[in-house]
Amino acid sequence: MSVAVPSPSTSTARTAAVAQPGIELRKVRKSFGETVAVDEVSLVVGRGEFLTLLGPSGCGKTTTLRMIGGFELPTSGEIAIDGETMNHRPPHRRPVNTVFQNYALFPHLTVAGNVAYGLEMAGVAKAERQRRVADALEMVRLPGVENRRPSELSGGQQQRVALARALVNRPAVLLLDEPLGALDLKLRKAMQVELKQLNRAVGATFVYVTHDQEEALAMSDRIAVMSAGRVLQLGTPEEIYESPRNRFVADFIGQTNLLPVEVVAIEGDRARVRVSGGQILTCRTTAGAPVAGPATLAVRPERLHLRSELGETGGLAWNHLEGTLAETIYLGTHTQWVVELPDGVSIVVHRQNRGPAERGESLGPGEPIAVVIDPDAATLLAE
Amino acid sequence: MEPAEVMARYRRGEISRRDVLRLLSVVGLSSAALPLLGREASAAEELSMVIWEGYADPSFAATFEGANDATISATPMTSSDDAFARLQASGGSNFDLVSASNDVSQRLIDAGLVQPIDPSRLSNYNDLYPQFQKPSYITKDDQLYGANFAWGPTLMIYNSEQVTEEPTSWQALLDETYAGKISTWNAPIQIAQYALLLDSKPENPYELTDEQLAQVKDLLLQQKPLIRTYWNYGDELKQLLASGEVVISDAWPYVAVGSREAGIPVVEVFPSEGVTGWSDSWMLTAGAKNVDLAYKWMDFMIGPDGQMGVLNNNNYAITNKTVIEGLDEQVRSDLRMDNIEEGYDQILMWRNVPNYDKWLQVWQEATTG
Amino acid sequence: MVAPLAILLVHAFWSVDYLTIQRSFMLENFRTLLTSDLYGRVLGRSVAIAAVVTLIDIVLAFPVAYFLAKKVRRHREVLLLLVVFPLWSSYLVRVFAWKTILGTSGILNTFLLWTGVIEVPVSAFLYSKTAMIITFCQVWLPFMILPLYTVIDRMPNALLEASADLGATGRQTFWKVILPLSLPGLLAGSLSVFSLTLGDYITPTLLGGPGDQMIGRLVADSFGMSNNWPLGAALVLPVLLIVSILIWGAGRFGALGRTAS
Repeated sequence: MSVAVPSPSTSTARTAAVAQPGIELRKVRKSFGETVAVDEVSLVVGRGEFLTLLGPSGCGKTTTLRMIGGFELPTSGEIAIDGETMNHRPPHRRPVNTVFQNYALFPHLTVAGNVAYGLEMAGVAKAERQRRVADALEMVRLPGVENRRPSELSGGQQQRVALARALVNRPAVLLLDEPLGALDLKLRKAMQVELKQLNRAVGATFVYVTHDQEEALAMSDRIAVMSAGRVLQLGTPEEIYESPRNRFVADFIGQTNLLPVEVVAIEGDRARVRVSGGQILTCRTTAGAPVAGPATLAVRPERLHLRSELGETGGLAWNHLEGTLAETIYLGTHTQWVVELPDGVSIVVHRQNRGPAERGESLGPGEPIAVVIDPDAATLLAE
Repeated sequence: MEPAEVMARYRRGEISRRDVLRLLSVVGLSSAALPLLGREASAAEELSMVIWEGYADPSFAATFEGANDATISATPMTSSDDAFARLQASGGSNFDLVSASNDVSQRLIDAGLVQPIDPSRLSNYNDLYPQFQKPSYITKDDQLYGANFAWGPTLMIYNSEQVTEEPTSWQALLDETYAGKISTWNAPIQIAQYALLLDSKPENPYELTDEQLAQVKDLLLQQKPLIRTYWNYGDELKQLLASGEVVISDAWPYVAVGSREAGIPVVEVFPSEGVTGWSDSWMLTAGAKNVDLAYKWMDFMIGPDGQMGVLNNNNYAITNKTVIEGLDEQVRSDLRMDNIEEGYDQILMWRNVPNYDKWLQVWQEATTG
Repeated sequence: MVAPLAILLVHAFWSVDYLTIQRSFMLENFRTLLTSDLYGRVLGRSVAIAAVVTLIDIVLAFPVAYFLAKKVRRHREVLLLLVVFPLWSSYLVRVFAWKTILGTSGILNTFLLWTGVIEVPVSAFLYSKTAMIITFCQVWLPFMILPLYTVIDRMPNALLEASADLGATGRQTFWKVILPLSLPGLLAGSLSVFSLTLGDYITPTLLGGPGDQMIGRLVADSFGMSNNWPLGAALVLPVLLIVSILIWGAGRFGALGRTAS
């Protein structure tokens, strides 16, 4: 059973409470004929947690979500919600509600009819239905639209109705299948915040599917990065971002420098590696990383510094790489410095732009430059 | 002969298109004349007719077709009214000929759907018995409108294996014993046949009082629950007999003959109350296109080949004296042709019903509702 | 298209006298229609049979259309072809085929006798309302399946999943989601089947028993055997009226052209 270990730097707000598992997947596998869509996925989602399944198209995240919802049945393995095994239970008997990708609002019913649908199926009395519908619409900040038809609403409004329709039933688990894809950027950002707030307010376990890593980082308590039907890494956003366990995760989330190196020595959780140009660096190592021979070193561009800005007295200046400046790219919030190392490998440094005065001396292409690496920020990948 | 004269004679209907071609080819104008002749210049001409089943059977029609290089296109009628309706719909121009029975012939004449014929163009005309030469049902204002070529009764027929007691009365068609296996011809003229069962025994079953009509309607309503289905075409009845759906019905002789040929033991009966019957004539429609070929057909049908054809194929009585006198005695007796005057009069022939629309109404209400 | 209908309408107000049509305006035909119980009865019978056939076809077509639209992926074109296939054969051929099957010595009776279900052939299979209804149902079925299939096919699967997600059983999903959303197709199909049955006269003539005739036959007789065109035209009017009302009703519920979104 994998348990999320809170990393020291995270606030308690982002820690998942896993004391009582909300959802448990045990070696869940799904194949369609010859194709394996989900390959032995095991994970535990805490009650009230906001978990995101993140990955590119075809990685199995949607299939996994659908199996939790009951729209697909696992080929093997078990799914339990709140301790109860759900394997063959049809969707209408699971304590789960779903917000579908294209909202799936019933076109022949009004908004009220849509939102009240689940309550009707549960036999809730009319007066109470009306009350709860009004409350749900308030909660998603869409009051007063009860008598409109879905076709009369904008995309954003429809999405909220879909949310209300799901949440009004007070489900233990809410599944969201890329619900923000059709919205414009601003609205999407606003909805991300709202969804996070709803998760807190309602207390239901949210399982969210997306391919947008920024979205995942913004909203989730924990993220499961998936590829080719497997979970490659499960952890908090910080863990995923700062300590990617393998090349795929490192590459998929944000931008990473991946340097081919050779392991020279291992000391505890530190390693000394030789970069192909011959320079030696100290870095961190993770479980599963090679102890000798070729390996990959991952370091985020924004964690790198240029020696010129640190000065010779910078505490980390000893851990650096010498190279030549290839080009600088100004990107508004930051500038990209592309440095070419002796053996042709490039390393990219992001320097935040703090105003014209702080841009530092202007170096031109072809000029020698040193890149300083904080040993704690560079990780040897396990793969 | 000048080409102009040829065309004039053609337009008057005195010569056929093929004659035109033959004549003009002598003058070397045949190919030029083709467009002048309008329609298809194909060698085989088509003769279209609406007829009772069996009147254009290949067994004798093929001879005609071969000899005249023609093809016959025949449409069968379910009843005289059906034929009348078809002709009226086109003003008498969609067919060249009609084999009209004596219940509808006067109506056809009155409606202007048929034209008078010239008996001098029929080589076999004088061989007909006098009473068939100019009978009242095809004559108006002393003009002859048809060639009377066949006649016969509407009999009762039954499957002798299924019906063990030989029926002798029309009452058999209302007999509960055969419930669900009876059929009768779906035509209003049949009212006359059922009128024969009335206590009041009308002298002329084609002239019924309203009360008598009502009584016949009662009979029909009595019969309805016993009926399997009303037959429209003779072939349909043959199938019903063959499949055993029906065991007793009224019908024309050719149905019985055909059934026996197919191995079904069907027997004809002349019920004691008498039988209604019909007499058919070839009539030339008002809008006939192939007049010359039509005359040839009419002549053929009252001549030896046609007459023998109708006799053998349908088991109908015929009208050509020479042919009849050459027949076997048994055959003549069976078909009531040994004494034409008497045999003919024994049958209560169809005739024009004055209040036919009332008959229609009664029949429809009794059988449809 | 309007001209023939107009001519027909005008005829309804004329009458026939022996052989000719009296072209003077009169309501005689309508009086005949209203007073004679024959026509009322036959019209009523025709409407009832048309309604029964429509209902049966709805029940038969729904599962087929649903199955084809939602449950079949691979051989869908072939199966659709099979649905449409009977329409390639002549209507008359299919009616005659039923005659062969339903007769006293037909396939159905033979089979039932052979399996011992019955001991004497059942004559009521043919020349009866049963025969007519069976034939009508089978012959018009493709006209009900196809519009239903189209409308169900266009229904997003997500809607059905959403319904289940919100706690609806299969049956509840059918009544609350599938049925309302397939209404346009349902109405279109029903309109076809109802109209086709109402006006038909071939099947009643070939397969109906005495007393099973439908209005189409009476109209045909009027224009044929009875030679009473005006009465025939008058007979047609109630039929036209009924069908017009149905078309209007179907249009109102979006069966004709408006997309159900």
